[in-house]
Amino acid sequence: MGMVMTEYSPDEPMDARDRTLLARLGRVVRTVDPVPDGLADRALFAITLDGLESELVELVRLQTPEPALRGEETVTARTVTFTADPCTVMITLSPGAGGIRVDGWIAPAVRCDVALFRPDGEIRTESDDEGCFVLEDVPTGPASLVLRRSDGTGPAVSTPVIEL
Amino acid sequence: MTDQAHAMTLGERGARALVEYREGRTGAFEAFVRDATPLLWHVVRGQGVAREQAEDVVQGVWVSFVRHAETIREPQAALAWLLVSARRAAWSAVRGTRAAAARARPLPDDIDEAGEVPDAGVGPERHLLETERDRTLWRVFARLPERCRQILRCVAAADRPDYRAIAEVTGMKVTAVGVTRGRCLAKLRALLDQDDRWEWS
Repeated sequence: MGMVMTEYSPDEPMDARDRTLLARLGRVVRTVDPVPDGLADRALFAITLDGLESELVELVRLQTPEPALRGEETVTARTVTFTADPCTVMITLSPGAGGIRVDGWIAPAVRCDVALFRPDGEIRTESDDEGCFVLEDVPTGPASLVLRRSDGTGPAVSTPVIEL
Repeated sequence: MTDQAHAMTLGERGARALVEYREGRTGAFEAFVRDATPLLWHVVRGQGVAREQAEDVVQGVWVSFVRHAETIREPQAALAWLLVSARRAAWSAVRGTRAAAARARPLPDDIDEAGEVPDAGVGPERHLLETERDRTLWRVFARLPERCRQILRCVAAADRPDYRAIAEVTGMKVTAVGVTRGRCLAKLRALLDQDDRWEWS
């Protein structure tokens, strides 16, 4: 670069200015990229679920573009897609009168036992021959879906814990 | 949390949490999950994982930690184990996303909605910063090499007594006098010195 810069030795102990700088950087990082509310609770719930079920294939959330700004509370439907080797599951979450309505679609289309696990219990349904299922009036909060083919073949699959 | 637990560093709390967890007591473990999750979040995000996916990665690291609870030999290494796992899982998530993005070629109409490769650098989020000084810091920070941004994000996101615990995984050293500045912090200070809009006091 050829530019004259003040050099600071990396091997010196941190001084007061370093500490102030790190504290400020910490505040900046926490402001622009806050830890999502309830993340630790969802992690603890995921640990609980992991202890309940074994031999699950974990589905991975497909990345959707992030909104440019966060924190806006729009009350519209949101679609999340999860995928792994045996199948892809797309769910649309929309607010209903008595809670969240979950519209799900499993591909390839197959009849499945669908269980939605929540910290205070589980809700069950079954998908139709087109792989579609609906769960109505689900309370908000952390939840994870576990799907198992109704004919008993293949492994059960589960989604990460998401916030409904 | 008790006052005694507060005085412990994150690394020490992790060691205690692991020991108690193995004995079937989960109180300290749950507290540790709450205390260490923000740090893991920033490690994962620092690797360029998008927010939603980063949530899943952090969860996965904790699930994996519990599965390995019996095999982590030194309880003192619990925090380092988590940090290394988080970095690895984040790296593999980013690689998966890039591969998926490369496979899914957007149709011309879809260009606007095409999933962007997440960027840990400066984005629209800088508008969330209220002071000119913070915006300057964020802008200068973004000019650091990627590895330095990852390290400093991790160090800055931790509470002060935790520098020591994370020094090992960040390349900073713990000496008799204290924690060394490390080359990334040295570089950030030099860059800030050069910036007309930055004032130290």
